[in-house]
Amino acid sequence: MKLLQKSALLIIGHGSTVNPDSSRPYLLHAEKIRKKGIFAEVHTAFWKEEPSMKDVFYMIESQEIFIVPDFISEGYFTQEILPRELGVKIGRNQVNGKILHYTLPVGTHSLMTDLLVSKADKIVSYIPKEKITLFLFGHGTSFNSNSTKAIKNQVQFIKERKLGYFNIFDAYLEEKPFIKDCIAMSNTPYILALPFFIADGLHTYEDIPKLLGIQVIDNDESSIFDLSPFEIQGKQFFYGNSIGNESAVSEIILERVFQCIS
Amino acid sequence: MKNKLAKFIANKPTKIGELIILPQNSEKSYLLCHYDKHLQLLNSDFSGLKCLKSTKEIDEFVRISKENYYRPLKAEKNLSSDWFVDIPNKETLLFILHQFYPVSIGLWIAYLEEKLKICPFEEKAFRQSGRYQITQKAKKKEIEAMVSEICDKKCLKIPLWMNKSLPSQALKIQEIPLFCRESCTYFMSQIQKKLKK
Repeated sequence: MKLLQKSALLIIGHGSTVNPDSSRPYLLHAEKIRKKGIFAEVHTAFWKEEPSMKDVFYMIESQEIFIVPDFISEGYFTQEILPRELGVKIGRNQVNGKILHYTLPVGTHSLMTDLLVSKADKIVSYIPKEKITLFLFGHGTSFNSNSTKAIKNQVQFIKERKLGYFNIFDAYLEEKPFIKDCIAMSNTPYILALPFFIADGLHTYEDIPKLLGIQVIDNDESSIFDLSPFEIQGKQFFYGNSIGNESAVSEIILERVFQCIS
Repeated sequence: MKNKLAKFIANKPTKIGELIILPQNSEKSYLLCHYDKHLQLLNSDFSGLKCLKSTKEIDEFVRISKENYYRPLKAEKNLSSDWFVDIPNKETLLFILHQFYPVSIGLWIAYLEEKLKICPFEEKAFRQSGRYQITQKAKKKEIEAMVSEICDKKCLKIPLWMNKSLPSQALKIQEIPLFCRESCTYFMSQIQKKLKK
């Protein structure tokens, strides 16, 4: 822990040039960790917002920096974009005279399963699980075949817990099985969909609802989650917000750092 | 960094972007407010001004413009002016300035120490992938037009990557300039949209 008191934590996120909610969870996690006083500095940097991954190093004074990608999968961003921007690979790196520890992403940590299960329980706690099909929604991309792996793994981990759901599936925006087909894929009166995204934004507010024919007329986009369940083709469709909003994600960020120094 | 910042400010009101830092109590604490309101604050008149008290509150404030729009450009000239922050020390001042204008103090100090690495547009475009790869095809005229549209009209940063230099000091007040060492993601996304058309 003494090492961390002289080190910086850098949380990397995607961010957005159009959606104000995209960086909110990262900033909240950073603030929560900052208040614990574990690190000399806690910073955030983004792919699509300020500060950028290149610029943020002008603000970091510590010699040793722990970089945690707050991303879902070991895929396109965490294996290609971030290493290229930061000049690192997984593990310990020496860059411009500083030691940079680049960790695995938050989304593939085993504690994510606990978060998903607990979130699902909160949303549909009063409905018998055998009447529910649980979906984990993800992005999917043709850029990297690993991008769906984290979600497929979580589906498997939740299945192994034998919680009683009628079925558990993964579905994607840009890959098969498609989110638009999830109603047809389920044989239960209730569907619970949890977006396995780090932050809410265009995908959770607009793209996914549009694919499922959900129309919400409200100035506050985030109200869509409060309006759930929706009736779609005679089924009750429960829709949760992105898993990355959960405040316990900050614990997973710390776990990734502790793994580096253990 | 905090010491260099405090030393520069000393006891002088210091402008940065749309803000002004007003040193208090023998330079140990500071008031931060919109430049338009600094005369009011210098007269210890806090009427009509909201006191921002937490990191979260400032993050939310910086995120949304006075017209209630999202601010992807943190140095866009559209901050509300009806607020102030009472800052206890130089550490917190550095942190809060970073919230308003991310990395601005680090870039400014690196500039003064001649350690600032400028990244030309071509180099930034070369790092783009996926649908942003198209930015590699941007012609000099298109880049200049976008700089005029975004950097010159909207943003308070000086785009050093376009060889723009520090403007002459127009104000009779000490100022920390805001530097831009490489084209930002907002700029790249606008170029991408234009080329896609």
